[in-house]
Amino acid sequence: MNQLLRLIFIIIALLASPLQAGVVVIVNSENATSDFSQRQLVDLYMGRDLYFSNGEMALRLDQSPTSKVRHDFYKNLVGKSVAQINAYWARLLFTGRASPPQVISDSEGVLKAIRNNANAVGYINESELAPGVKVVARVD
Amino acid sequence: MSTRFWQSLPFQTGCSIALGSILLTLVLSISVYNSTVETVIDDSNHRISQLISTVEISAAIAAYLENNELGLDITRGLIRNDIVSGVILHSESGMRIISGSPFHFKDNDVLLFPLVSPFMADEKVGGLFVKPNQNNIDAQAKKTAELHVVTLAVHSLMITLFVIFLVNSRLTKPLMKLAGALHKIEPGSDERLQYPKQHMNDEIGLLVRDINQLLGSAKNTLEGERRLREYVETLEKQTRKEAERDPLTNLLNRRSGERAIAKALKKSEADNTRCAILLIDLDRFKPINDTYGHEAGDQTLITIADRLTNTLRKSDIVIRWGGDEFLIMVRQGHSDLKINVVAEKILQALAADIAINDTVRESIGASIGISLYPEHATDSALLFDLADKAMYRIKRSGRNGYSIHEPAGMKSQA
Repeated sequence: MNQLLRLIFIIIALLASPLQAGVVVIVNSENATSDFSQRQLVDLYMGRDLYFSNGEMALRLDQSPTSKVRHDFYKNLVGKSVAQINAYWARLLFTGRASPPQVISDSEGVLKAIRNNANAVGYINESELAPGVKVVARVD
Repeated sequence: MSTRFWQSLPFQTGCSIALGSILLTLVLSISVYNSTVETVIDDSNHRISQLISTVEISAAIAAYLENNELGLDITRGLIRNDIVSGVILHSESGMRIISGSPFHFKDNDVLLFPLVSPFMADEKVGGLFVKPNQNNIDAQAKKTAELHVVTLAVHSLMITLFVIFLVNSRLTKPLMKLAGALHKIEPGSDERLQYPKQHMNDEIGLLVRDINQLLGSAKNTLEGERRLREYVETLEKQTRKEAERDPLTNLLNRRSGERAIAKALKKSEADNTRCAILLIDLDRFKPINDTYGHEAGDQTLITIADRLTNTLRKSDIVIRWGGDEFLIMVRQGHSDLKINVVAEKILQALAADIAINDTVRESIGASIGISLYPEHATDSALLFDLADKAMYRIKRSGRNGYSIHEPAGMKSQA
């Protein structure tokens, strides 16, 4: 009985795991930053603090507005929908001071941009991780 | 009758009410103003809260990002509302954006709205200080208070006028009418106030009832007094008469008779006329008194007196001189005084039978002595004396006759 329950649990976990894969924040593996707190991440992506701890300005990368990863990222990070985040930036657009992260169409592009720029920061599905980048935060 | 207007009941009542309502209005106005100011401040604060809630997210973003442009846009927008005079938007890390008239954020009336991070609900990113527009609040409070005061004043005025009208129509008019009617009523008369129809059962009706009762008792009192006066007058008249008249025969008594004769003599002297004094003594009166009793005697005297009065003229004086003596003064009329005729008439009258009782009749008879004025004397006492002497003469010589005084000692006998 007990063994049967455990087996069922494992099967469910296996089935669910690819769907539930977390979103990870990545930087160039040469970037000195080892990890971000949630607050640092929020301030970075919402345009409050655009600098790494070493004083270098971060190049923030966003994914396609329709992508699931972008939806998950903002939902998990600040509890807001993509549309709400768009509204946020739209509100700030006229001030000319704050700008949203640069949009890259897919995870491949994000990985490529990070590998090429030591100060770039982006997010992808954990399952899409590839060499040349390092995870500095998990957004669950 | 008429009262001056400012002394009238309606005016005085109206004045009192007006004064009271003015005081009340003043007191109420102050409290109304104070509560109005509070209400207006509450209202203004509520509106400011609503206003802030519409810009809260933007303000939080501005504070979060320390974005001056966005912050300025918000604060400028806020002071465009006439309920706000000044706004400070500050962020935790030191940004300060000030719009409108400057103020100190520690002022009592300043409202503080804390701003939290748009992304992390537990992170405070700054705040909004809002200074409400005091002028606007004052103006609005004043306007509302003025409206209240005017309403109160109009209300008071209406009530005052209404009370004046009521007092006038319900109290003064009926009272004036009563006063007028009462004025016309003579004390002691049978007139009474009419009951006013509308005031049958109220205090005015009661007043009318009491006044009518009073009029009634006044009438009774006056009537009683009048009766008493009449009674006293009758009594006085009777007393006077009793003093002058002999109670039995109702002829003049001796005292008042002497007075009347003295007066008559004076008049004769002035008119130059003649008079005669006749002293009459009843011949057989004592035996009747002795035989048939005093009552019969009294009755006889009354009869004699009546016969004398009837025989003589009204202007002659008939006196009960005492006991069974009578004295008469006969005055000269238009013609000569014919004393003999008079004396004969008297004798005849007294000689007639008198009914003593149902069966007995007696003739009394009299002796008369006569003196004449002014031939014998001019003094009444002397005239009486001469008449008395003449009367005794006739008594001695056989009674039932008359004798005139004879100065020369001559005798005359009928």
